Formats: sequence, C-alpha cells, structure tokens
Amino acid sequence: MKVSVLALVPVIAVVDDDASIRDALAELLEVFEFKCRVFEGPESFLAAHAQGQFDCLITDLNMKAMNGLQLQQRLSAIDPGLPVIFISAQSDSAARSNALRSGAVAFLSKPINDDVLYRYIISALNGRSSD
Amino acid sequence: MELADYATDSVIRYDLEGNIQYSNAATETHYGWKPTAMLGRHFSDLMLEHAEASMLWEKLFRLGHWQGPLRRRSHTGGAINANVRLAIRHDGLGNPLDVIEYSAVSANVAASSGASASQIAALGRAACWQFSLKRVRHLLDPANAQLSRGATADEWCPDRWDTLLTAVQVTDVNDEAVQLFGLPADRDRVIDRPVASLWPEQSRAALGDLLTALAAKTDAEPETREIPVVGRLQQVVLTGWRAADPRCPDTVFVRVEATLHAPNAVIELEASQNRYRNLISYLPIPVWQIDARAAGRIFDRLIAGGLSDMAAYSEEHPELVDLTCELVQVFDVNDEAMALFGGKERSEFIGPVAYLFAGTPGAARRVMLAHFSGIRNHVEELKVRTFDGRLIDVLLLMTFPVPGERLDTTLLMMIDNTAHLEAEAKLRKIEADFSHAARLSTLGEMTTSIAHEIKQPLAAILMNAQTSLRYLRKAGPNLEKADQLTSRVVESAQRASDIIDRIQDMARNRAPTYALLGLNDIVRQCLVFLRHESEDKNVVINLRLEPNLPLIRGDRIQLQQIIVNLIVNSIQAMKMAPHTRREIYLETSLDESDHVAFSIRDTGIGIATEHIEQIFDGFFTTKEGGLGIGLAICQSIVNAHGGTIEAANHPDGGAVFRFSIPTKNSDAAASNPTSSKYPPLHRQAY
Repeated sequence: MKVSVLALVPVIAVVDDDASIRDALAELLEVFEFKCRVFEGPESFLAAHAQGQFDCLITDLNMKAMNGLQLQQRLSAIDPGLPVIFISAQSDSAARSNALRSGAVAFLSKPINDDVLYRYIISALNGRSSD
Repeated sequence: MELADYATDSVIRYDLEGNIQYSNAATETHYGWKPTAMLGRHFSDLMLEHAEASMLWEKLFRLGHWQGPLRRRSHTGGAINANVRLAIRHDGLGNPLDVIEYSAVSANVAASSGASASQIAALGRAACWQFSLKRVRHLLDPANAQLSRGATADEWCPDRWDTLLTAVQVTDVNDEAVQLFGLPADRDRVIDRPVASLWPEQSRAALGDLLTALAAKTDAEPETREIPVVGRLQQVVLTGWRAADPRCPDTVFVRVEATLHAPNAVIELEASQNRYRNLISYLPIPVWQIDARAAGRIFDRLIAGGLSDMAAYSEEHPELVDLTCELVQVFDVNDEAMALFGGKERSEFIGPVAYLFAGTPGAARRVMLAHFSGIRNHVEELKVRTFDGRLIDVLLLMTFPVPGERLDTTLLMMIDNTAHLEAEAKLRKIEADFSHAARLSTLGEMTTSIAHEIKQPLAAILMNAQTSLRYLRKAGPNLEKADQLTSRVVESAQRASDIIDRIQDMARNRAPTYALLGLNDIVRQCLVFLRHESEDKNVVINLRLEPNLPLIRGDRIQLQQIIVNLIVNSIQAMKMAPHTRREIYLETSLDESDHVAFSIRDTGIGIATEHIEQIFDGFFTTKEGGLGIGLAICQSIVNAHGGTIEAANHPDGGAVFRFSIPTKNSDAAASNPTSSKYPPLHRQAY
C-alpha cells in the first residue's frame, strides 16, 4: 500500500460536538495508527487550522452555529486540497448529494463500520498524495 | 283509641260535619251517653241550643281550635256544665281530618264565671302516654337498681335514668301528648320507641322515679309526681297507674297535666312544628333528624369532670365513640333519605346513628368532636354503606342545635356525590387521553430528533467495540485499552437506555404523579430531546435559567410536555424566518407572587392578532395537519398545577408564551388538583 511509503504518519482532524463520538473516533484512528486531533466544533477547528497541517477531515454534519456543509464551503476556499469525510446520524439525501457534489470523499451514516471508514480514509489519503 | 278508654276525660271524635264517630267510656260517666248510643249522633245533639252549636262549629273551623265552658245536654235532656276543648286534626299534608273533643264536667259551676282561666284551660289538656315496662323489669328491681348505680363509676357512662328510659318503650300516646311534647305527627314514629328520646330533658328524673314507683306496685292505684316548672309549663303533675287488666302486666299509663305560661304557646308551637315537619318531609335533600342529647349529657359530665381535650380522650377511649353512636338516635328521616339508602321501611332508619358512619372509619369520631366543640355546622365528605349494599360518596352536612333552639333535634343531610365524582373521573380520563394524544403528536413531530439522539450513543458503542476488538486481536493484546473502551461502551449504552426510557415516559398513557421538582432541571431535560431538532432547523436556543429557584409540586412528564410543546411550536413557527434570525430565548424566573415562571420567545412571525384570543382553545390550529390540541392541553396542565399560561407578541417581533406555577410554599399551592371542589373554608380542622 502506498500509505507505508509515506515518510510521516498522516494527521486526521475530527470535528464533532458529541464527546462520546469524538472520543470513540479518536480511539479508532489510534488503533488504525493514524495521528488524530479532535475539535468540538467548526470554529475551534478553523482556529487551529493551517494549510497542510491536516491530511484528512472527518466531520459531523449537524452541529450548532455552523454545520458540516458550511465548514466544507469555508475549507474549499482556504484549503481546497483537504479531503473531507462526513458522518451523520441522519441519512439526509439532499445534504448527502450536496456534500458529494462539493467534493467530499464520503458521506457515512451513523453507526459507521470501522473497515468502511478505514477504506475511505486510505482512499482520501491516496487521493491527496497523488495531487 | 284503646288509650282514650282509660282516660278520665270524655273524648269524642267527630267527622268534619260534626257526626260522632267515637266516644270513650268517660263520656258515659260525664254525660250518661253510652258509646253505642253516641254513634250516628251529631255535635248539636250534645248542646242545649242548636244555634249555639252551629255558631261554635263555624268558629272552630275559623280558628282551628276552641275551648271554654259549655252547657251540655245530658242523655236525659238536662243541662250539664262542662269545660270543653275542640281541636281539628290534620293529616300529613295539612288537610283537616277530623275533630277531637276533650271535656270534663265542671264540679263547680262557678268555674264558668272565670275564677281562674288558666285552671280551666288546663283541665281540658291531659296528655296521656302508654308505656311498656317489659324490657325494664330487671332494671326496676330495687336490688338491681342499686347495682347499676354502683356500676356507673366512669363519669361518661349513661346514668340510671338514661338506662331506664332507653329501655321503656312508648306503646301509645294521645294527640294531647303529641302536641304538648312536640312529638312526630305520624304516630308510627312514636310507637315502640324508647321514651328517652321523646321525653323532655328537665323532667327525666320525675318520670324515671314515677315509673320505678309504679313498677314496685301491685295494684292500679295512681301515683303522682309534681314538678314546678318545665320549660313553658308550670305546675306539671304526672299521674301514673298500672293497667288494671291482668293480661297486660307491663303496661302503665302516665297522664300529664300542666298550666301554660302563655295560653297560646301550645298552638303556636304546634303550628311551627307542623311547618317545620312539612318543610323537612318535602326537602329535596335526604334529611335525618337525630336526637343527640344523650351525647350532650355525656359531654356535660366529661366537662364537669375537667376534660378539655376531647380529641386525645376519644383516642384513648374508642369505646366512648361506640357508645355515643348507640345512644344518639335517628328519630325521623324523609323520603329522600330512604331513597338514598335504598330502604323500604322508615323503621329501618330509626334507631342508633351508627349505620350512618359505618362506611367511613373515623367519621363518627370526627362528628362527635365537632359536636363536642360546640360548633353549629359540620361538613365532611364520606362514603356510606347503603341498606342494599352499595358504597356511595356523599357530602355530609350536620347542624347541631344551639341553646335557644330545640336541643332534641340535630339535623343531618347528605348530598349524593357519586354521580358527580364519577363524571369528574370520566372527565379526568378524557383529559388524560387528550394529553396523551398531544404528547404522541409532539413525539411524532420529533422523530428525526429522537432517532438522532439514540443513534449517537449507538454509534459511539459500535466504534468503541470495534476498536476494542482490534486491540484484543493484536499479537500483544492491549487489555488496558480494551478495558477503557469497554467502560465507554457501558456508559454509552446507559445513555441510550435513558433516552429510550424518557421517550417511553412521554409515550405512555399514565395518571399524573405529583412530586417536588426543579423547573430548571425539567427545562434541561427537554433540551436533550430538542437539541437536534433545533440544530436541524438551524434554530439557536438561548438559555437563561434563574439559579436557586424554589421547588414546585407537579408531574414531571406533564411539565416536560408543556415545555417541549412550546419549543416545538416555536421551532415550527420559524420555518419561514430567514436563517440568520432563527432564535429562541428560554427563561426561568421567580415572580413577585412567589410563582416560578417559564417564558419562551421566538423570532418567528408572531401570532395573528385575530388568533390570540382563541389560541388556547381546543381544536384551534393554523398548522396543516395539526390536531389543535397542543396549547389547549398545555393550558389544562398548567391550570391543574394551579398556574396560568398566557400568549402575546413581543414588541421586537415573534411570539412570547409564559406560564407560571405556584411554588410548594405559596398559598395557591393549596388548591392543587388533589384537593376537592369544596372550598377548604367550610371544612373543620381536626
């Protein structure tokens, strides 16, 4: 796999306002042997964000103040190369097609399968490394 | 008219036309007319002057009553001076029945010239009682009398005269006795009753003494007892004798003669008694008339003995309550009372009052305490057991006589509450059903939010379990990690389970349960449900909860229902508002009248002015597919909690809903839904 040839361990950002989901994702990414940083909401993520700092973003769709789609819009301007994976508790088809049209790698519905998530992260990282 | 045959006065009964229907043995003694010879004759045949007879008869019907000296015609045609009293008798409805004459030949003709008017009046006024001593033989035995007197060591035990006069039965009375003693006009309500309940208080001892003396006699010689004053009567003379007929060994007669203070007092008394009796018989409320004097005597003796705390005393001596229930007697009931209890015979109702209180433990004691306390009225709700075995809810109203009134009559009324309480229960059921329907409808509108809320912990569980498996399946299993992750699985599973419990609480149809609650906690619990609903609709909820609010008494689910309903309404009201202006302000506070208040303000389009009046009406809705019961239910819940709810438009736009509920300390909390519809004002504090 191409991942093994990368010199650095990829860093993945997680944005979710639910602490239990955030923590569970962090643990899962750790056992996948990725580096991970978690954020409570889009604002704190954007504040910490600098171009090239993160290799992939996993974000919740429904959040206070700014939702996942709005975050995606913002990133398309400041960090267009950052691959985004959405996770949502709702299978909202409008939001889904909106996200995918705007270039999201995947739109996963909760609860999510670990293998599926892993495959999408790898494909996201590969897509980014091939840019 | 067996009794009249023993009377020493002449007694004649006429029909309304003056035809003689009956005369007694004394008629023959006085005038020489044999009873058989009298039948078929007319009032005028007994008079010297026919003209005077018809004038007198006319006068009698004008006044209802006549008395005075008359010159009578004997059977031989001679003149006899007599003192005569004529009275019209009436049936239960007040219609004239017949005319009764009492007369005696005046020994001294000078009496007619008016030596003593009151003496003459008294002559025609002999009230007669017939008693049976059958049940008192053993009591009247001089040896036993001593014994029973010795046994009354306890001050509240009935005294000797109570015991004796309760056992002596009335077997007959004449109309004079009915009038003079104010007895029930219906003779069935007198016959076979203990004389204790009918005889005036002040002359109990004289009667008891007379009966004791008569019982000791073997012949029919009369005994007399004189009492100077009894109520309005003066120079009361009781004359008693045993029946001469050996076939009735237990029968005694007592004749009562007296002078009245006021000559017309008896007539007035009679008139007022008749009015009173008719009033009660036709009252459309079940009425019991009770003689509670026996209880009064017990109380008097206890007070004389220094007792003041009857509540404590009756607690220690429950037998006192039982005894009082036995001694206090029902002596009359009306038809409504008989219908309420499903009784067929009036006699079933006459006797000790115990049966009235048998359905509610403690009621007899409360009534006794009320009587003891000297208050005039006692009101309480109770269950009574009817004669046909039903248990019914009634409101009991008792009026105890106060000095100056007839102390022998305590009035007891019952108002049937069963139908009312059943209707109330049905109404509560319907309200609960509507409330339930409204909750289900609100839950239905929140399904996405609920699904989201449950999926969150499930997603966390799944991820943690998968991560944990990966650690366990590694070459060197990381047990520490697995332990940590499994603990999180447990936490999240608990969270999911709590959410499902809350939804089930809302979805279940249940009776409200009242507990002390913090309004802020309830608001926070509601927001758990609604967080995703609001996020989904891009509504920002601003929260300002007043810390340290006093607790309120209420039903958690119902209060949650109101708040959830108001928030859902606001979220829906803002569907049309631009995204930037979708805000809800929730606030709790304590107002000046010690009510805890909740208010919600949105930035929606507000309430149309023409709708603001109807907004809490049932089935009023502006929502397509809406049931229109949400706000009506909110209002009924708030009212049931003793509070109020109101709707208005905010000056800066949007609708404001505000409800307030009394805290557990404020006065209004006393009128919470568990209290009855009868104002507490009228209740006795026990």
